[in-house]
Amino acid sequence: MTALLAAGIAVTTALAAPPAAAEPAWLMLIKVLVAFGITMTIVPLLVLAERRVSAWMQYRVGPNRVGIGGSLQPMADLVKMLFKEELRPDGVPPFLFGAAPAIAAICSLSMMAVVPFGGTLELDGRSIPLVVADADIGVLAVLALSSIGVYGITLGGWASNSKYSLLGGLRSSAQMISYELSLGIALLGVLVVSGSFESGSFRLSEIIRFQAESGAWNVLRLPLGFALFTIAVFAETNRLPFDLPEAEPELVGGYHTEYSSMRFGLFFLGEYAAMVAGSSVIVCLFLGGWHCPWLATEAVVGPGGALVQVAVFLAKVLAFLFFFIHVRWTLPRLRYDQLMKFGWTWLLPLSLLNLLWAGAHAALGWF
Amino acid sequence: MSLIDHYQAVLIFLLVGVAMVVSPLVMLRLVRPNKPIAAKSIAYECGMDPVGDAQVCFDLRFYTDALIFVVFEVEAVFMFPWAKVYRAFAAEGMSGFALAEGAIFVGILALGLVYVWAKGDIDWVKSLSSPRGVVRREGVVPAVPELEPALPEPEPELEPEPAARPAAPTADERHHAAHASHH
Repeated sequence: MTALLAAGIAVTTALAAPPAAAEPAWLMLIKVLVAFGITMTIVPLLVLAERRVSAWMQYRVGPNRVGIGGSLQPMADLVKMLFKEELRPDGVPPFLFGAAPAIAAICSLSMMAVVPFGGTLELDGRSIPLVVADADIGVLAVLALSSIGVYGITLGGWASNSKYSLLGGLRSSAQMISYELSLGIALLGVLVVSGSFESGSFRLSEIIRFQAESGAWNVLRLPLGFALFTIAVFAETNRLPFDLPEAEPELVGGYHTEYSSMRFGLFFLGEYAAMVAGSSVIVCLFLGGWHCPWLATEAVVGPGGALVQVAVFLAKVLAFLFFFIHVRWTLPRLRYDQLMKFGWTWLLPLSLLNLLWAGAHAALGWF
Repeated sequence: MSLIDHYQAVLIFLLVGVAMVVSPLVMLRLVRPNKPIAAKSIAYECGMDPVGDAQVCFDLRFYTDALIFVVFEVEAVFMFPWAKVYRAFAAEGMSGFALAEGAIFVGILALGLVYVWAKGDIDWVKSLSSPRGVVRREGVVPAVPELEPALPEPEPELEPEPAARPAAPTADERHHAAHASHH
């Protein structure tokens, strides 16, 4: 549904408005490669960090043999995945079985397209917004991609022709749509309180600029919304305590039980890329994005300022990813009925309440 | 003025993403081992042979959940334009009006939630808490199927003629027969 809305807005704005100062294709390509480069650097680091931090929290060593202190372990995993045999169970539709992990991975990778890494870089008389696509639909694209990503997991679970996979896929679809609702409504609160005074905006860059100019991050305006959004992101990325779709003790591997080789690798990549994208979106919406008080707070900066802003942004994202890992080893997994009950009877009413709070906040003109 | 002008970057991004995902799948097929044997293509069920297909009908509650989701998602989608113009209304001093409108809409949304909640459609374990489940427990449709009696019924005095039996005896009858031969 959000995907439809986002597509509609994209089409209407494109038909109604002239394009923004068009960038040369080479610049666009550089930005795309940098954005992918950042994601594909964080993901292996995150995999390694997850294993090392898990080990540290459980008082064991963790992977430490490949490279210095285990630093090359993700590379070793990748090589292993690339050269493993691909298995496919009997009675499986080959196209759906192969397409499912690709859908999951592409959707979570593409979310980074609308996330700004910094403000606008002023270089050689050319102003370059540090975001791949400063699209009008902005955050809606993130919502849309995350709801299309559900297809990957559900299809993968159904197409595997295995009972564990089917259960995992079903659980995942029910869980993700239930929490997506709270995600969207918690997001509405952000749109109401931030943006320029004349009109709200779906652009992440304007939401960040608003926070930077007012000097107060949205987490101060909407503490409840921040908590709700974070919980919903945990559920959307299938992380503990919401990892029911792949609960190992009950479902072997859940929706990816039957997947091997690079197809499994894509599910894996998609999950971690979704974590990176989710953290980035939370940082942009609630934690001020590239804004850090006293450090390069202007929206338009030179190269030095841009570096500082990107560094601040990445530091926030990495800190939030550490929070993801920490929660994994802090909270136990919910039971399925508890999960659904929590989503519908706590998260949804509270997010409606948060929306009204945001409305009152904007109406009374507090900071 | 085409859509491509506006979303060129997104298109490039998507294409790069697709290429990154599809290329390892396709190209490395050349170097991957491929030695299929029958046992490898059995669905994994912890060592047991799977019984039947997995693509079966599943619990209706998932369907109910999806329906509720669609209703609320449509309402949430209607809130996005409201959020978009809210600041403009507030700038003209009409924030009270906008807030009241939003509150009425959210109120209707919440009323729907209360209705679904009271009907018990969002309780996952339905048979225990919903009114419909109570009816079930009272015996219209048993929520938990009655257990078979553990012991066989008292046997009839006369063994029926073997010829009179149906071709495929049910489990219960076989049980009776085994019991009788034991005597």
